[in-house]
Amino acid sequence: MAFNSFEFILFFVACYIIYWLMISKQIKIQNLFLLLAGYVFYARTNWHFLFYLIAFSAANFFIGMYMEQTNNSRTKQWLYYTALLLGAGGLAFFKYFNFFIDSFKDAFQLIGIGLNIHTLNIIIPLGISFFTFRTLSYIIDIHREEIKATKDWVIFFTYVSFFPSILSGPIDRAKTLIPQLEKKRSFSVNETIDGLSQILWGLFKKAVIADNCASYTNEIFDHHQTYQASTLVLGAFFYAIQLYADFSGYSDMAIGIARLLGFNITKNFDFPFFAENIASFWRKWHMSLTTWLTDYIFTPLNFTFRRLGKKGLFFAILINYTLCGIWHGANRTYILYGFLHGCYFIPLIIKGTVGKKQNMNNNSLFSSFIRFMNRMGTFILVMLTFVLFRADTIQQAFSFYARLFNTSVFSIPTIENSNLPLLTPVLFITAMLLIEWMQRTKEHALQFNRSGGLKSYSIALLYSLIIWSVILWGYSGNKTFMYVKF
Amino acid sequence: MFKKIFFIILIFLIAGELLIRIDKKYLFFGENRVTQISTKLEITPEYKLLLADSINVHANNLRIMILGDSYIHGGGIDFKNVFSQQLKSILQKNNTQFNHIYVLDLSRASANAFDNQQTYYQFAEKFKPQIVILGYNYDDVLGELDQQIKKISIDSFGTQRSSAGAKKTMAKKILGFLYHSALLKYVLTNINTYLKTFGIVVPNSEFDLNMKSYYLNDSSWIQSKKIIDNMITHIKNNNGRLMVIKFPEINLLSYQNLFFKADTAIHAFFQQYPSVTFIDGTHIFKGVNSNDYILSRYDGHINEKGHKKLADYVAAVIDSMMKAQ
Repeated sequence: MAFNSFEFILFFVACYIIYWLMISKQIKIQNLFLLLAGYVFYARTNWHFLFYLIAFSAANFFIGMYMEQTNNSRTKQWLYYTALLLGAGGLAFFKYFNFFIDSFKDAFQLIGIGLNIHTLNIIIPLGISFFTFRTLSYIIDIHREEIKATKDWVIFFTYVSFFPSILSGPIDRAKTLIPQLEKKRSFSVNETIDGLSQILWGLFKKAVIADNCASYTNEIFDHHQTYQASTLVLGAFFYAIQLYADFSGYSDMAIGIARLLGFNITKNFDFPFFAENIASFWRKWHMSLTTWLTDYIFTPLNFTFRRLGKKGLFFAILINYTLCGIWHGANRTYILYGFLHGCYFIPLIIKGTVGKKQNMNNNSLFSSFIRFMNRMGTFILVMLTFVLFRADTIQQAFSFYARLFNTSVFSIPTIENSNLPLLTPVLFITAMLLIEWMQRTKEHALQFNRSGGLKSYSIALLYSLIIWSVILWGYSGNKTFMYVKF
Repeated sequence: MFKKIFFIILIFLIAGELLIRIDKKYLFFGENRVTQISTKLEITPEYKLLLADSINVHANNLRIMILGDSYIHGGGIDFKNVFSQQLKSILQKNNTQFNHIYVLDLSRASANAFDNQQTYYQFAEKFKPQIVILGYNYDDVLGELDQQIKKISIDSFGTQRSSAGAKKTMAKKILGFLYHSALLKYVLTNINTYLKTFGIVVPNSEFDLNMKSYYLNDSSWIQSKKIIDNMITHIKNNNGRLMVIKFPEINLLSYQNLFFKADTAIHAFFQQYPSVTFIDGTHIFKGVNSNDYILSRYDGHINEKGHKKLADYVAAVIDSMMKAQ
């Protein structure tokens, strides 16, 4: 049940009416209703894994509670490692088992030993990476004594299966979402309008930008051997935009839906293509994953390696981003993708500017030539690395890169399929980036102060154009969101 | 407050009108929409042979001419999988009787009864078909529907105009704008298409007028009948046989009541000719899951699988026809 499907609209409208009109005064019933809605939503994708989700939630709930109750530090430690093993083990089995087997076989093949081990036909539960990371953060935070374990099973189970974000995030921390589940939610017109605006912007990015870009990237990437370098550059550009519009579109819709239900969930994107360096990019791209990794992987590693100085920082970053790559899936392309991003931090580590935050309030895109070039440079670097993200194998990615760097990069890009006019997506992408640039200091691109006068009519015009764009050019095929597979 | 809401709605409508007009002109995102299909003839090997006078009409061969519009031509389908090519392949595979089997596909998208007749006369003398297959569907009646719709719209506007009294000029302007509104046309077309999938027909919509032209026996259908009659006589006089395949609207297979009156008129017309073999496509697809044969939920054309099913059926009819001779 994708957010951009008619089925979801019906499902959500029904939930919304019941949630606010029938059970708004009883918080416990509201939570129970959210839990049931989450399970119905999840079961509609694959009901078999609902049992896994329930069992996984139950195990973590009891472990969390016993960790809280026990005074014996050894028992506490034992429970903590059991929970980590449970989460990491589930992920390792479903996502990485076959990859480990294949890699093991390949390694032995190199020294001339052929192993007769078979891989398994495993179906990955949707959203496993997201709900596992949620429960892991809950357990780690209890262990660090940053939060207290909840005694209300409905709240915990709802936290794990919260339907706006169960399939593709954002990865909410327990300390963010559980307190909101414990408090009474109140209906607010402003929050509703803001939530709807964010959903609309997400839908525009997904249906108009990402889904239409997909036709171009599929054509160019699938036939990259026949295209000149300039078209491949355009293909890489379209893919970077497609990935961003798809995933950030999903996140915007998830945040907007949660807002309609009275929740403020974690922001996942902060206009990453305006970042001036790679560190800034990662502070703005898939923020809930980046902060998760920073808190639970990078910070402990950095602490461990602190005696090594800048080298230690580099190792911590490299391990952190390689793990970030692996999180996306069991493929060498993702490992290389993460590893390269780790390497891109080297100049910043040398200059000592890794932690330096970028000022987004500057009014001009061209405020200084150097800042503009930094933005362009960061985007190009990210765009070229995304080729690895798109490719099925490293060989395929290298074959794309090999054709990319030659003199035909200066020719005018062309595309075989005459049904794909090249100017159209460029026009829409420019409009999207322009709106996002103008709104870059806001929570999302359609967040406006609703004052009266001429400005409100300009906003009405902008909303009208976006709604009509979705109606006219939103790809109506049943395309799922790209990050659902992670 | 109401003034503000009114202006916001107005802005929304104007934005829609503008974007629809721009889209109409520039056709954004061509791949992801219903593409406009070519209305040209397909240059097949048979067509080339015919132009080069290389088909010996006196030899022991079977010559089949195919006429019709996008339904039989297979708009949106790879040409090698369309009805004519599937039929040729089946007939050639089972052939023990003829030296050659020629299937000359002269169908093309948007052809109506008049176009089919013209095409037939253009090639009949040279090709001398023993069998002419005419793919017939509901919108093959002569192209006067647009004028008819226009007439109805003008009539209704005219009635309102005369009753507008003092505000005549303003009303005229508004109605004139509405009549030419791309937004209104877009919205109504989409509503009609969507409702049709639930078996609901909007009165005086294009579909409704199309059906009425048959059962009210209007001038379009009368003229179409004259043209087809003329063609039937010519084919018969040249020792040929006309085979009419009436194509179903495959996406509306479960709503046959929508077509009942029109079908009765069409069947009654063709069944008065003993020399015509009439095949009702609806019967061929009766009882099947129509989802297996549709190109789109909003479109009546059959897919490749549907073309194959139809070709199998027609090949069997031709086979028995040839054996009987």
